[in-house]
Amino acid sequence: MATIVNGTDLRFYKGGVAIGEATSCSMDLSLEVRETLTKDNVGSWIRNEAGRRSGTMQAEGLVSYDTTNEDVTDLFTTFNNGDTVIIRFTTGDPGTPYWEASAICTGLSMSAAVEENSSYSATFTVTGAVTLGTES
Amino acid sequence: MIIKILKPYKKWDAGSKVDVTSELGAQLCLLGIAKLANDQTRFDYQPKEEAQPEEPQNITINNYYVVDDEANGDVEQPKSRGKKTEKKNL
Repeated sequence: MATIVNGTDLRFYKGGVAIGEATSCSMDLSLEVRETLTKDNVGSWIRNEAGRRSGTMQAEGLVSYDTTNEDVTDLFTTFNNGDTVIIRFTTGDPGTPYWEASAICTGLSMSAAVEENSSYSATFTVTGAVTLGTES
Repeated sequence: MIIKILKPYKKWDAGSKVDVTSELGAQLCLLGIAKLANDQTRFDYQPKEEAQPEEPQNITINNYYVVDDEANGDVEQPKSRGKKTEKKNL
């Protein structure tokens, strides 16, 4: 039976440092198609070709001010400065694939409910290409 | 990879452990700022303890009420069904 990657092991690294106290992360890539329809299309079936590609990466986690990894203040600084950072989505294990892209932090939200863990959510919008590599 | 910081660097104090990519880790190790940590277990990840299977429990049937009722003659006898047939003395 194939080995399924544990979601706990796949995480985001921002600028080479893990996003701390993360509870969930996701990468969403999309591709829009260029529709072509002319009188030559038999039966008026639309012909599609690959068009613009885009992607977002979202990290969710718990708020900690003393984590040695990237904390919510680091995320805020990136957001506030509009910095372009390198985001890598990986397990970090040698020989395993990783996805990497330059991205801008386009969203940061924090939530704090009474007697519950404070949490954050950061959204990074990819700028440029997402590349697939292998961990060395 | 988990590295151990040897000299204060950016927001990190000496002795703190950081989870970084292999490239950044190698770079910091080359600069003498950090070294590869002996324990590569992520410190913000606490594996759950495996639940131990429960041992089967002995079942004790507590029926002393029945015993008491029987002793007192309070136990209702089941009613007989069907027609009662009286024997006629001819």
